[in-house]
Amino acid sequence: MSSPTPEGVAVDMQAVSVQPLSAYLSDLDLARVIASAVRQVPGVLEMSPGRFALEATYGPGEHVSGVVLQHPTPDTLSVAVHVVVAEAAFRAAFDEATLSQLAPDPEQCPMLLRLAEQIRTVVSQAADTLGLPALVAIDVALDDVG
Amino acid sequence: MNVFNRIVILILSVASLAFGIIGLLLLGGLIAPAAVSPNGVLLRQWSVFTQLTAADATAAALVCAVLALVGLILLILELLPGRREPAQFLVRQDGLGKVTVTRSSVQDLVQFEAAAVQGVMETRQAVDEGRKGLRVRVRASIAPEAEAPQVGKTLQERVQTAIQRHIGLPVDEVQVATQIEPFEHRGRQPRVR
Repeated sequence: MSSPTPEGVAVDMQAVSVQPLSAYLSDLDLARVIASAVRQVPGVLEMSPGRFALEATYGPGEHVSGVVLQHPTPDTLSVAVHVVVAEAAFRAAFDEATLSQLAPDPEQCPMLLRLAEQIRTVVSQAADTLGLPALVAIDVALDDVG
Repeated sequence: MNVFNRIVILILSVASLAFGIIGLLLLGGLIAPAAVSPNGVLLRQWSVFTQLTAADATAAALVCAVLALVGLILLILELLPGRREPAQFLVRQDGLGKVTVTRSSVQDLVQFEAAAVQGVMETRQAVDEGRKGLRVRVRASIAPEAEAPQVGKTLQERVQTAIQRHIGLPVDEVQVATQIEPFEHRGRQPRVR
């Protein structure tokens, strides 16, 4: 049995380096990264466990609430994110609206939609960073205000 | 009611209906206990029905009839495709997926907005989905010195604007009812903070 040549090792290392990071991560790890990124979005208080059933990604002996990963096909992924909106964000939006009463901007995107778009953006960024398979859907559920 | 609770109610209603019917059939002598005791399971329990005195049998028949009736009613209510209000509203659906908001969040927003209206002490609100958008019903307890028509009009305008502006859902109508008396609290905290 021959030992690998230095060249052979180098080739193997190259093969490893082009593997996306997600190849080494479980769904639970991916959900954890996504949840962590979503929690950083201003206006998100916390991940929501869901209103009617426990919305989570499950792994051996643990789960990540608020992130549901599904694989519609082996090389695609859909993400559903459930969050609790911070009451402070609501109040800030109210204050902002009160201040702009005199000159309301009809083109302005509603506050919750802006928040949903920000969540989608960070999920996309996290997916890019991890080299996840193509995201076919990013559903955002604004479950509660806290 | 969530899915788990509904399944429990379904199981209980079927059990109640089955027990009631079997009891009535045993009491009427239409079937033998062995017929409803596969492999002798529950044979002793079912046999009790055949050994009752006339007075006890009448009482047992009444109980079984009530159980069967309650089970049947619950089963019908659970299985009927009645009109169920959506628990969440679809705010946007595009190529990237859906954005939904729960009914309670919309109610919270209505509550925040109502709390900011001068003269409003407390509110109760309900939101459902109409053909052209959300239908909002607000009951407001207002200060005695407040002008009810003015407060009602302001509430209507502000709630409609708030939902459209902060959530992005169309509003079909906002019904406001005002009252001077405070709401009765049944061990719950007031909704307006």
